[in-house]
Amino acid sequence: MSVLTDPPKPSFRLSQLIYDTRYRSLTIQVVALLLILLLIAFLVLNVITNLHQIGKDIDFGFLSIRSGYDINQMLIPYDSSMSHGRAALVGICNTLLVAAMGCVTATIIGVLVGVLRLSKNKIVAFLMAVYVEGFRNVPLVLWILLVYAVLSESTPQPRDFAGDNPAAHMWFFDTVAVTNRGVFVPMPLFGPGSMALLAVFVTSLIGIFAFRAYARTIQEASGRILPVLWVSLGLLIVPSVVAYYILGRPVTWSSPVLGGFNFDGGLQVRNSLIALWLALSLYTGAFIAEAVRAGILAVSKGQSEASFALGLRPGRTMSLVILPQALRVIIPPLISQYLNLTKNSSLAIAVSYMDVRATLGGITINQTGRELEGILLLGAFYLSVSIIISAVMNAYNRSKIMKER
Amino acid sequence: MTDSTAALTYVRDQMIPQAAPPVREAGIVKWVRENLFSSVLNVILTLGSIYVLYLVIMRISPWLLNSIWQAGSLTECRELLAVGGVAPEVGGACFAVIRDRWVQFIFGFYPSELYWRPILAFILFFVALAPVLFASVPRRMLAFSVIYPFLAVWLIWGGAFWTPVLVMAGFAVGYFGFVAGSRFGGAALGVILGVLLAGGWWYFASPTIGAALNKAVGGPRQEQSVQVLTARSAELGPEQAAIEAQLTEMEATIAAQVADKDERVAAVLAELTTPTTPENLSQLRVDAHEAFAALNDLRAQNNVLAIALFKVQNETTESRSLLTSITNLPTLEQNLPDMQAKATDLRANLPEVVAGFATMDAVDNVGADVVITNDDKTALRDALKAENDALAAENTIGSTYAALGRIGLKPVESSEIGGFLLAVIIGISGITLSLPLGILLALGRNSNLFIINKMSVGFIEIIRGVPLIVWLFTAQLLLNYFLPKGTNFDLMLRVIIMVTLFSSAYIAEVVRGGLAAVPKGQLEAADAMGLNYWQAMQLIVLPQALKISIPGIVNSFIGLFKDTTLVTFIGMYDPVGLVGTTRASTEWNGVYWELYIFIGLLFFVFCFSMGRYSLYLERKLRRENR
Repeated sequence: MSVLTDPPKPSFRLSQLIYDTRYRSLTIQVVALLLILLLIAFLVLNVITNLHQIGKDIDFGFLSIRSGYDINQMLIPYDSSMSHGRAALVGICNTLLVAAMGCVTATIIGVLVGVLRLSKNKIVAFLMAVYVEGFRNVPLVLWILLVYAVLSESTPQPRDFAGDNPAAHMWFFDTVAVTNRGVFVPMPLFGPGSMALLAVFVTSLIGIFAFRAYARTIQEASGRILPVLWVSLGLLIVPSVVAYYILGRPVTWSSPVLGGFNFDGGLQVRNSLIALWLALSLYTGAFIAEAVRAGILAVSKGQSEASFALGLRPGRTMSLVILPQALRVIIPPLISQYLNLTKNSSLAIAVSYMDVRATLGGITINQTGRELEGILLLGAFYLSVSIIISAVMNAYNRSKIMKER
Repeated sequence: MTDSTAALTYVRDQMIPQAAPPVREAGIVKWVRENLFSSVLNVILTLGSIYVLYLVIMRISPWLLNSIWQAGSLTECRELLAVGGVAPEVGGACFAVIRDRWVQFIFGFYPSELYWRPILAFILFFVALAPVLFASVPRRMLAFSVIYPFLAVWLIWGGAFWTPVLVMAGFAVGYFGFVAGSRFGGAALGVILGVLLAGGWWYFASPTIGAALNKAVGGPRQEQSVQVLTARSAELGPEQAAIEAQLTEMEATIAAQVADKDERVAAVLAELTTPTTPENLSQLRVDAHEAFAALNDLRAQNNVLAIALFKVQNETTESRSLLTSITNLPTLEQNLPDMQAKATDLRANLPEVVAGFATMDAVDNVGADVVITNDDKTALRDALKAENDALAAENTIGSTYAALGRIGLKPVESSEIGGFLLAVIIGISGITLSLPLGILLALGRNSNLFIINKMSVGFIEIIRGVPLIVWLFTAQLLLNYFLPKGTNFDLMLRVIIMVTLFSSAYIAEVVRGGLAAVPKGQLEAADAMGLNYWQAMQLIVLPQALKISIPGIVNSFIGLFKDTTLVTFIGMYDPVGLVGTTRASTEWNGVYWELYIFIGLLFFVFCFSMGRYSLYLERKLRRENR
């Protein structure tokens, strides 16, 4: 009797692979996978035959060979007797240096300009609009080259600073010299006790965060608002300055001094770095300004009106009501702008700044003839930096995202 | 009672006429007070920006007003400024450099007699674009938009007219394959069959048919061409000599005029340091300007002559080489099979260690543990030489027939294309090709088919994670590794492919945002209506998603267009690269502001108008809240 309630026997016909939606997606995926695998196999086989035809193989051993070329701007010790791997590392440091500097200045410029562009002051708003549209609509390479040309063609030569009646003067009480060979700035010399000073500074930073958290708890518990800004500034400056004198001035400054035809002492920051940094900051700053403006505009007007109705002053309205909501809109584009800035730092090629593209992806490739390996490594480096930046910023974004209850 | 009425007389029995508001509360004063001087910070901002504007205008306006538009070099610009009595610290713009070089900045090294071709292509671009951008244009015009890409490529690169027709035929073949495949076994099979057929057509059929057509048309023309070319060569010699004589004469005249000009400039400068009378000074200035004008006239004539000479020389070399190839054609055709046989034979008999090597460098590239004797090297050298000879002979035969049998336009090499023409070509092709690819990638990333989704994600993230410049280097240095031996395509084509892939990944992310913004109910409603995936996407989801993504898509386009400047780093002459060559020339060494302003303005006009168009489109398509 059970025959009547038996489910119909599942039957499978080949045509179901195409006509039945349950199986069709599987068919499509398998076909796509096969095609992709075929393509990859085709490319790999080509690489193997082509490499064999010119007698090469894939070998990363070139990284440990002596490099034999100099790098004019470095953060870690390096000379031409060291390996190609070390040179690549110097380049990586240079890339990260200009990217980090650029991100900081671009954010400052972007936030200022984004807020000012919304100002009721029409003159300021107009100037900011000119800046934003000007930088957004002209290629970055052009800006880099222009800044570089200005720096190297219209700044004085070091010898102009010499003599009793020099043609050029140093800035900031004779500590900074802007020349066509670069900008000379004072260099800090770390004596004994510097580590202690650093420890004091770090502790005061931690203190600031602790105080902010405390102020927040107090405010949420009692509504009393503590003067966060002044206390933070005090915590930032006072302990470090006191420790600096107590420890007997462990950090001294070596200022650039004109000697012969060039400056001695101090730190020479090459024009290539400055041009790249300035152009990257101004260019990305314009994009960040647009993101900030859009973020502020995205907060509905009712929010600020409600805040005024509650009696909050404009400053507090901005910091307590508008900015926290605007940040949610601003952060995702901000992440992509940081990523863009990091990738755009490879335009260092326009001014011969020795970034990783110039060392690993330039001179090393030319000297060893290892294009395939060099460019693979270069791509892997940029890819991992991008992934790291976006992971960190996405985590920050998650902490700021609206918590829906 | 009367008292009280009298006391009430102060009650007004008519309205006071309306008074004007206080000055502070009306008109421009109110606006200025509210907008510019409402608080201390605002006052500082206003005064600061006015000061900045003042500084900029005071610095720039004299520089612009003193600008020099006609001069042969930067030195002459400075002389003219000095003659005009402009102080060196004020200075003046030397826009003469743009007047001198603008043609190069627009066209690169494109042959000047063929400028009409890119210009025509550019004008037709707008004709082709009109039906796409504006709904009011008749729909029939879309047919022209479809043909336009092939037409434009033919106009710019030239060649026989059947080349673009054969390429178009490939699309027709592919479409036929798609239709046949879909009828037989679904869209997936259709796509595969279509791609295979089209690829086969382009790879095998179209070159063969092209070569056959060249031979069919060119073969009978041989004798006639020889006659024409010989006659023309006989004329060219005397023509060249005549132009050269004129040029020599012209050089002497110019040198004399330069000396004259120098003298008059010196006279003005002397007059400026020790002035006699104002009349004398102005007379000397007029004289100097006249000398400059005469010099400029001479230079213009000289330029015309130089271009004529260049053309004649070009024609001479071309006709000579064509004559030689035509004369050698029968022998080459006869020997070709033998040469090919010899090459195959030598290659087959190569010693084991060097088998498969394609260059002599390979011998040096192998590790130290592989022993290669001198005999092996000789054998390899012979084999390579035989192969190269056979290949060269084959190419010569092909190119000779192509030159003989060309019914169409004079071919132009990619390396001759530069300046804004290059930027526009790369930009427009990248934009057109990357949009469909980007949409497909976005759909792939949004798809719930696991493998397709992961492949799209991987592609997008890898492309976006690496800077464009690295991709361009990949195109320049590595692409040959990934393709079969002998496929060697144009650097510009490689760049266009790379730029397209790069931009499509960015567009995919933008479109993905748009797709995410379409409510899920829309897709569910489409499902409920019984639409299949493609119908639902095409009719319901994508129109809404694309509308939302328009600003982002246009921003990607603007980014792509700006990124075309990066090709200068792989050796192409885009405007930025040409700035380098201009600044390296002896005449214009030291000019930079003028050039960067010129290029920056051109880019600005392109990008800014694209951005404005996107705003217009956004407003036009905003159907809700109207």
